[in-house]
Amino acid sequence: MTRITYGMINSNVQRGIQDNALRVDQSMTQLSTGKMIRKPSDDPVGTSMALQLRTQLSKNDQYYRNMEDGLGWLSTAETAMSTGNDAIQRARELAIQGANDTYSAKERQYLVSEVRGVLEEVLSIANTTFKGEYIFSGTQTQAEPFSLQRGTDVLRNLPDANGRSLGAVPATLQLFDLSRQDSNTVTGNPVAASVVPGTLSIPGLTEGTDYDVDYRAGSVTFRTAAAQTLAASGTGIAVSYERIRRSELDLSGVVLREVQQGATAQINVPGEAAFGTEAEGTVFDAVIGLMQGMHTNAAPEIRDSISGIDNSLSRFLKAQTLAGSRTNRMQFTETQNREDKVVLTSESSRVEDVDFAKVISDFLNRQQIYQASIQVGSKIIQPTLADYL
Amino acid sequence: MSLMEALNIGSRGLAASQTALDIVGQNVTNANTEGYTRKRLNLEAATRLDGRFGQMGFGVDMTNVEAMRDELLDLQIHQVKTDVGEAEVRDAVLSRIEGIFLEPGDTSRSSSMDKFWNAWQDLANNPSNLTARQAVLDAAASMTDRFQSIGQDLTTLRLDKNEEMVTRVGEVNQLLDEVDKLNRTIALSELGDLRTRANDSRDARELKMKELSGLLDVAYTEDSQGRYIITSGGSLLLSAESAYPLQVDRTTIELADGTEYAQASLRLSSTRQPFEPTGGALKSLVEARDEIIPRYQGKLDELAQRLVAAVNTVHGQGYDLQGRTGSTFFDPRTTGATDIRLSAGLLDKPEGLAAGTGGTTASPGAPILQAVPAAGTELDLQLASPAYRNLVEKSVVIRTVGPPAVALAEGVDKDFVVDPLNARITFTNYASFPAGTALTVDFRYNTAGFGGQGDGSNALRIAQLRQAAIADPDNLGNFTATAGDSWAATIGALGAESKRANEGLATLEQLDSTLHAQAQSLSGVSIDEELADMVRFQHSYQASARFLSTVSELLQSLINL
Repeated sequence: MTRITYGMINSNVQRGIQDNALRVDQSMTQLSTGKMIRKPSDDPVGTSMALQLRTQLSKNDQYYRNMEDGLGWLSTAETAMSTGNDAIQRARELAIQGANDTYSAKERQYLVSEVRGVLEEVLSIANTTFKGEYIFSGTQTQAEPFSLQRGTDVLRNLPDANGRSLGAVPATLQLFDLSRQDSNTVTGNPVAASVVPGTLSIPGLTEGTDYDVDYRAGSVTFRTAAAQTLAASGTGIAVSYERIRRSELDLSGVVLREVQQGATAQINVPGEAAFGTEAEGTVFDAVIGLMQGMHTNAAPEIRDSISGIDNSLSRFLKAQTLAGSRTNRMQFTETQNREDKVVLTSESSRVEDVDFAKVISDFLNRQQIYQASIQVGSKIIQPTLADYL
Repeated sequence: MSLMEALNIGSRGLAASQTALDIVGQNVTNANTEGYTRKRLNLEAATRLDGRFGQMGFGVDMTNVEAMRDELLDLQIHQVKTDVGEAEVRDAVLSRIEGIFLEPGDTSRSSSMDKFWNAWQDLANNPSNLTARQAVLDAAASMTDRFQSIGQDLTTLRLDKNEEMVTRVGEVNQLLDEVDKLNRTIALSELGDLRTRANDSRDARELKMKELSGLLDVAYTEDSQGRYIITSGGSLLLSAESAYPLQVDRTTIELADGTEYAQASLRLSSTRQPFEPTGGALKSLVEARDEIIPRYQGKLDELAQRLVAAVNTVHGQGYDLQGRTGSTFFDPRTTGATDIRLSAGLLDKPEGLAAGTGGTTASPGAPILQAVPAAGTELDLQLASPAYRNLVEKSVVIRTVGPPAVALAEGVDKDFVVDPLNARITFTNYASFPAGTALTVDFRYNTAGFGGQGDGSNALRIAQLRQAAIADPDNLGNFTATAGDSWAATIGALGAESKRANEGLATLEQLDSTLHAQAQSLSGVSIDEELADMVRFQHSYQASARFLSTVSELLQSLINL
């Protein structure tokens, strides 16, 4: 027969109460933190899964932020395109109005300033920014894609570094901007194309009699001896003008946002798609063509400019559609992303979080057992034979 | 039998009952004394030869006082104590490591790594934004801080275990010394006689042996004089004559992070040979110091190195806000978690982050001929060719035409400084190189393809390293896991190891308490039993006394005849 001693009963009761207290404490901790896993050894596999799910969730949220940012870009581009549409529509109306044969030269001069307003509006659209970045500059987001610049040039009868000389009239000379340097030409002086009609002035000569200007190409055709005389003088023919300058940087960079693991989406509309390449003629060239017609009071030229304006209009529409379809796609991905988040969150919660119903019932159960063990223990420990002798 | 003999029997009965009552008193009062073994008085009927009946009773004889102890059970208890001691230390170390890693949590290293990758994504979204750039540096700093603090905590834990080992060796030596003293006491008081057991000293020695077993796996034998001879792993620690304490040697070891620590190793004083503990707390301490902690340090260090290598490679291919390339993000001298830090060049210079993808660079072919300009003016390379802009940092080499061709040094306090974006060179040392000195200038410059300040594609490439396999190379050296997965696997392994240790400890403790209960069942004092014995011997004392008084009356009658 096993002997049962006082010490054995005592240590058994103590151990039992300790065990029960430990279980109550475990339930309490789970209830107060709401977490099943407090340290890796609570559930090694679960911990691994929880870490991976947390990473997944963090990635998912980041993709969402990327898309929110991308949608900002796209909607800014869309708004810019629709504003551009309105501006070009206005230019088209002015063109039809100005092409009217009943208009006088003076009336057409009034329209020039209105068209200039359109030009400046389109310029500000091309320089639209989102969070301080130029959205039509590709990845060169700190550079204005198009700007209005004042330039100067001097023409002489002797050949200059840019290969020009005014020998005999008529002569057509290309304008350069001598006040600036960039990488487009051998001398570093940029070609002065896209000159704004009405801003070019040559002191001492008269436009229409002494010279004519092709504003889009930036070339001047001299016709009279007065021009020859001036070119041969010490100062030469000093020319100043304003022009639309396209940044010489590469604006075709692609701006990407990662929207899903391994999937990126382009969020920018390249400036050239919206405003045209130099080869096909930019929207600025189209408007300058219209202005030139009005400036020189040439109704056929005004009529001819309408086709260029129509091209610009359809480019804007195309760019707007492009931005719109990218927006749609991204919104679709965003919806998916949010659904994924719901799934990931519930999965993560399933692994890490406490099932309150179960833990509460466990807790009550354990608490009862704990109380019972204390009560019974106090009764068992008390009596000895000494009480009865 | 004479009446005188009967008197003798009665007095022997009285003496036996009284001794038995003494022992009851001793047992009851020591019921709660740790290590006390219940004693029992063994009695035997005394005999003498009688002419007529052969053997006749001669009252009661007290044989010996027996301590109720099962020595085989004690041996088992010692073995379990050794295992418990070993498991306790291992469990404590592993749960301490869990506490250091702090996973899973919102401030843990894995969440700081998540934040690090996300910061790169944010930078990819806003490459020209200095705030987004600073955020990358901050996220990286908080990640390296976590790496460093975990690394340092692990190192500290390792040093702690080293010192704990030395303390525990002190305890072992103390216990050996005490057992040695008890050996002498026991031998002196027993003098080899089984009837005179030094029971209380033996109890005390047993208690010391239990403590000793928790620290070290000891084996012992008892010699003919009742002395314990203790060995551990075959090495003598205590002979019948004297103790051979363990000695601690200190060797200075330099850790990976440059910390020096005096590693303790053990030596037997008996043979001067090195001593490897093969069980108990000492074994686990050595294992923790030399195996468990270094293993997790290794994992952490390797992850830090892989991360540094992967991020630096991609970062070096990118271009920063000024179009410079080839810079490192993390300090490339990183050897592990304790010294991972950002490149010194990036501190407080968020514009130096290589968020953009570069295109190609070119050199002018042959060095171009220039001359030192007049003081106060700059040498503008763009005048030589407009293509020369966005120079690659530190690529400008200037020499005098010579002979001899002297190289000029770049730097604010040296011969010239460069404005790389505008390709302008300012000369600062007209004393050695006066205006008009003929020079050859060579350099590299960015041609097409440099994406500009709005190009975040390289930041995106770095952010995508998050899902790239950059860790855990297989046999062929191909990486098999992402940094996050590798970390999760390490944490999972730690959890499993810690859980195993914890469960192992619980099982052993259960076993220990079962054995303890068994020992208690035999050796423990039962108050009820002792009180019953008390009543029993009280009655037998009373009966012996009554017998004596009856004999005395008989004698009286005889005398009165």
